[in-house]
Amino acid sequence: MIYRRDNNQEKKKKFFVILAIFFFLYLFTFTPIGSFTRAQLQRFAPSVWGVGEQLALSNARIFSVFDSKSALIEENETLKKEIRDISLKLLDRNLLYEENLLLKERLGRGEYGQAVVARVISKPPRSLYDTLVVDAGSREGIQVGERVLYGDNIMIGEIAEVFEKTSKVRLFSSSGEVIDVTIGKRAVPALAVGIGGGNFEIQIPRDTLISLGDSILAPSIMPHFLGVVEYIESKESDPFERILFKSPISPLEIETVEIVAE
Amino acid sequence: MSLYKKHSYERSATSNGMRKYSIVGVRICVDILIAISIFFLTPWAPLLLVIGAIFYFKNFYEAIAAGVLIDMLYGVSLVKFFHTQWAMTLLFLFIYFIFNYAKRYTRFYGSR
Repeated sequence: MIYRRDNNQEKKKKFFVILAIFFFLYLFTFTPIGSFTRAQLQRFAPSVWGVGEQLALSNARIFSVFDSKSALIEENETLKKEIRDISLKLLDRNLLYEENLLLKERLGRGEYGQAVVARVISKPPRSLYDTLVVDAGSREGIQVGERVLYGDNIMIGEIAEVFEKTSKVRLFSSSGEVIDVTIGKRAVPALAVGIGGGNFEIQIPRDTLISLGDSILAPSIMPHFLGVVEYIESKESDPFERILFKSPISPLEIETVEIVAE
Repeated sequence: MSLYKKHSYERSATSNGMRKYSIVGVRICVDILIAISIFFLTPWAPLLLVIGAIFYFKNFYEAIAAGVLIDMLYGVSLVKFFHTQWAMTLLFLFIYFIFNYAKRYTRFYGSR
């Protein structure tokens, strides 16, 4: 006698499982349950990342015992020299910046949004999303759409989502993200498209006067720096040329950011 | 039932129960590993762990939960993911069904 396996029950079970999955996805997407769960998770996540950071730090301390002494001395000297060079450059830059602010104030455009300094608690490449999670949220007055800067003036992204203690930052260099920019002294307007890893691409007509080293700014009363032209690809057959540039700071190295309300 | 048969039956029942417990234990450990990898490692780590777990365990629904967790922690609407905040959930859902289906046709895991 041949017994046929009854698959009906198994099929029913599978159907209900799939139904349950889609029901939960619906609940998480279209009802307040999703935002509530996200908010609770973002409340607890910083402490988990904090524990990881502490572990990494103590690991680094333990293994630093094995570093070679002469290599450390050499690294120390190089870093000291770099700091000297940078502080000299900064002197000049700070003077110009203050002069710029003074001029804007005299022309009635001196008011500038207050900046909130935030520490990056999660950064790429922890997920396929090119996002940063920072430790400032609605408690610090952060709002969606505010600009995120590195240092005083390097623009890296904008606030995408705000929770009580944390916020998510969408990086402009994320693949496919588009941002208005101006290129060089002539302030040639263009659209920069993010291609991931802090890199951008711009397509502009071939005869536009652009040269390597031209700075790329995000237009505003207080233009923010995005990068400098690093590569220009031009073909006889193509009426457009391709400009590549990258952010001066890699998203992987960002430790703190400033969040500015425009 | 003879004494021998009774003993062997009890023994197999106990060993089955033990096996079930140990599999549940391993499954919980894998779940914790996946959660840790989501918080601290690169995106490929949870992906590989989830694929391995789908092959090893029966109905590894935690794969979808892993996608939901990633989206809740890091997800924002991006052009590259067609402006959906649930890209990883959908990806892990897809992976779950594809690998669960593929599993049936493999020699080693077909009977699991």
